[in-house]
Amino acid sequence: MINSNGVNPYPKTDSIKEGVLKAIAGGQVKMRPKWQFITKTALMILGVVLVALTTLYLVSFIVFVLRQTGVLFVPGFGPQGFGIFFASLPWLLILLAAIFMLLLETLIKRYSFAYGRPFLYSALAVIFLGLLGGILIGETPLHERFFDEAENGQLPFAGSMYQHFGQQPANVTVGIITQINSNGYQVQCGDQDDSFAVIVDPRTQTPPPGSLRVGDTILILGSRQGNVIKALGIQKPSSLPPPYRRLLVPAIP
Amino acid sequence: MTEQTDEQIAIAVKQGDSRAFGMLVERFEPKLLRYARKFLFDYEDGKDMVQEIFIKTYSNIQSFDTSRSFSSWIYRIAHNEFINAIRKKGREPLSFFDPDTLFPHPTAPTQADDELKKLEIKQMVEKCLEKLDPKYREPLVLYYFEDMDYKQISEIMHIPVSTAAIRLKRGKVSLQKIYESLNLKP
Repeated sequence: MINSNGVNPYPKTDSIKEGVLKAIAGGQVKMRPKWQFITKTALMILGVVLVALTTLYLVSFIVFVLRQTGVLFVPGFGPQGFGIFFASLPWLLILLAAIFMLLLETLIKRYSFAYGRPFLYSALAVIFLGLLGGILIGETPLHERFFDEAENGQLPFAGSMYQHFGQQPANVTVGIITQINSNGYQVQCGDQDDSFAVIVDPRTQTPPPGSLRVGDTILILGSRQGNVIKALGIQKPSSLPPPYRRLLVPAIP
Repeated sequence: MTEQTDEQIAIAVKQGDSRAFGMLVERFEPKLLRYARKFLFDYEDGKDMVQEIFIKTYSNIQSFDTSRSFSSWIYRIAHNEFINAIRKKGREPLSFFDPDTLFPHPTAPTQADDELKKLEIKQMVEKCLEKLDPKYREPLVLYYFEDMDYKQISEIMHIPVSTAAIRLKRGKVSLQKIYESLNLKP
């Protein structure tokens, strides 16, 4: 083969076999030791594992953010809810997760179990496993713990990320009912100062009368004006986590 | 005494018997030269490239998994070498992205063409080499000249088996069209 200097570096012979064996015997060609390949394989596997774990972390974080902010349950409010849902999705995180999934797909394409099958199959497998694993991890208290640590300033690297993405959209509020009034509810969303009066009128979509009680975690759709929310809709999703659970405990009567 | 398999010789080379490597060179030199001539058809340095393939094979033989086919492994090294040569010379376009690898294609199991048909297609491929797109030329060369099946072609080219089959099918259609346009007869 002609090298970058434009010359063939190996012995010039009429026979390829003779040339190759001479190059081996003359020490111009050396067999690379096995450990180099083992190291390379180990690094590749480590790379695949790290990318896979990062993907799972990102997907689970997205699931956590959607649940924590209540965005996941907003489509239940109908067409208006869908609009808010799409506008409130953490697109940056979704893009990042997609990039990591693509990277994972590229890495595993080096192995016969992936390149031997159409891209569609391996890509769907990566997406399915990424989503499934992420959703399962999202169900664990892992991110909630990180979120609490971020609130306390004990999470130096990802703390700002948890605080940034954990913020609720302007017209979606998650709170705990502290009082039921004639025209609505009093809900608490954080510490003692973060309390809102939720006004309900006949147009407000609400759960059946009597199904909401003090201590229930509810999702409110409606813009906040000062400490008042004119509710367009109220939901009580069963899997909605209470906001700022740690802070709220002493506040609930 | 039965003849040693390629894999058995490769084990001996891995254990330090560099003379045994000469046997592998003897076995694969004519095959790789033919592969180079057919796939690269117009590249004057095919012999140097084949020498380089053997050098790389020796250098990387510790990474060869002896439970797999040595033939597919060395052809894979050759494939990479030839693709790099085509890219370097820039005479023919090679796309990084191939939509054929995206979706599954329904394929029939490898069907043996009868000898006459095979000979006919081989002659057609030889006459139309330079007109064929490299992505079709390579599987046709591997199938008709190197007697590889879909699975081996898939391993050498790192493409799904169904893609290997569809490229062969489309390659034959393309071959037929080129033949008709050149007013040639098989």
